[in-house]
Amino acid sequence: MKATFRTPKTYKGWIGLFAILTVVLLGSWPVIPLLNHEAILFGMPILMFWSVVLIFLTTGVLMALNKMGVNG
Amino acid sequence: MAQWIPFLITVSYMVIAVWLGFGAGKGRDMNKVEEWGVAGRSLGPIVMYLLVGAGGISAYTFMGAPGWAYSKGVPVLYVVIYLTFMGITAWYLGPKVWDLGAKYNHVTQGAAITHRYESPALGALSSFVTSIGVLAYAVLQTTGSAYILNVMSHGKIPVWLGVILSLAVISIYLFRSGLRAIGITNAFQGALMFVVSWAFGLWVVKQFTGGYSFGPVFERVREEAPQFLTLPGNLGDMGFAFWTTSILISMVSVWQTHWIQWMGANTRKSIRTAATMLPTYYIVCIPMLVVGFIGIFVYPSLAKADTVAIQMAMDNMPVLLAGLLGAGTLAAAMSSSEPCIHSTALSYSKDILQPIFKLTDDKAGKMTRWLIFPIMGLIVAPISIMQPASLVYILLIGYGFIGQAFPALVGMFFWPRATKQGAFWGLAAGFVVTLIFSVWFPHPLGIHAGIWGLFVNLPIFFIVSLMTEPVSKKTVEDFFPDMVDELYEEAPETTTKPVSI
Repeated sequence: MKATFRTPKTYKGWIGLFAILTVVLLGSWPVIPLLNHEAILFGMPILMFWSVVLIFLTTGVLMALNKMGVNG
Repeated sequence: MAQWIPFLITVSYMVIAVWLGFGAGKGRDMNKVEEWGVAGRSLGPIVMYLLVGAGGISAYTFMGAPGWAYSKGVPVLYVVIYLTFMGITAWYLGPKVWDLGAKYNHVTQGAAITHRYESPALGALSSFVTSIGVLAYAVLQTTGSAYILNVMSHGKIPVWLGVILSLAVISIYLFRSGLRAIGITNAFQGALMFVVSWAFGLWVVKQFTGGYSFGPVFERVREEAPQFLTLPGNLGDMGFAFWTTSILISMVSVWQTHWIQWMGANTRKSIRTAATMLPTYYIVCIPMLVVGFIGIFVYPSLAKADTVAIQMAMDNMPVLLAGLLGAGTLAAAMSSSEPCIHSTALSYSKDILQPIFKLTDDKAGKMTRWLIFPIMGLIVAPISIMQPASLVYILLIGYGFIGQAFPALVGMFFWPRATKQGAFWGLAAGFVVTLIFSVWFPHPLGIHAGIWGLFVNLPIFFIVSLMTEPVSKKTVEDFFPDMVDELYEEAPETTTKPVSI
């Protein structure tokens, strides 16, 4: 028996994987230091504003993937 | 008399929850695991959205999160982000878990592990150890419920009585209606929490600034205490590494409660729709966090940070709003503890007692819902009343295990070559490392203990799996039907007899 991993089978699947990894990176180490300032944006600390953006971005990406027929 | 209005509102919430939950199971045979355990797989996307959303919002959101904002500042936002990203996990895994459950009649995570790894012992072990974290969480939420009842009754309801009252209320509808009760009460609790959080948050902002914009609050924080607005926060304990690894370990920790909730959906599409929208529910956290920031100026030296929101409500709010906050916080605590009690009863019955005593499905079904009473009476209630100092360690140990089950899930959905030996030894090693780095040497280099555990767990999982015999082709076909041809293309077919470890 081979030790193969299950990977996306279509280009849409790869797009889905890439989109999800991008969203996760936007909420973690590579990006958060760039936003770590005392600035206030739309009445909120920039990190709070970014958290709200991520909430809607995540839902938006998942909606787009549903629309594309990506099943994960 | 007016001082009792908040208490009456809080009690009214409990009465409504009982009424809704009790009625949810009407006309259903709750002696069947399919009904009591997973609501006959009947929950639509809106109930699923509120069920999972409200389940993720615990008493922590109404007490602990404002407390973190008050004591640390923006580090608390990692909670909003990890809750959001758990929507991705639910979106990806939820429909797959549902498919497996519908096809092979799995109800619990332990049942799926038993099937995938051909090892009832591994399924039972994972069920038992996972329950430690789940029950510790139920204890924390029950303590939160008792605290709210104590505050709202001006101390007339002591903590021990609050524990008994909140568990008694849950037991009435949980015994009667199972996951259907959790679904309908969580939908009610979820909507209540959303309204209360925003009403309370905006009211506090109006009182503090004269308007409804958060801007003046944070302008003042920036002028007087800017360290609250950036990482590592006011206490200096949330670096980028800890932020990132805390989010990642939470994202890959699939709780038994989530698994069972996904099973309750009426279609795989309902889970996917609910999971897609799930992150939007967590906007509920934002106003409560702002309340915590306002507390920095209102209560400069509060002894217990977690009480900042309740303190503000009891000191300044109109009685109606204070009562709603009490009800909302109680709803948050109950909506998180009841799935824990339900899932533990289900997994003890299906994954441990049924295989050990070789019970029929019928007998196991009848026993399952009765198990909530010993779980509540012998475990949750006494520990909630005693509040042992070691509870936090129990919780850390439990959480550590849940995260370390991730490679076993990788073997279920991504890697057919995974074996029970690989899953077991990886999990054991990861668990020990997580324990050491949680309790004795907390989070070395600012990296979460659970991630250190996975650093050890994953290589062992892969290496031991490659050194041991894979599961039978039949099981591989069950879990990876799309890969069978590719997997057995050249290599000779390998079969092994299921062996308990």
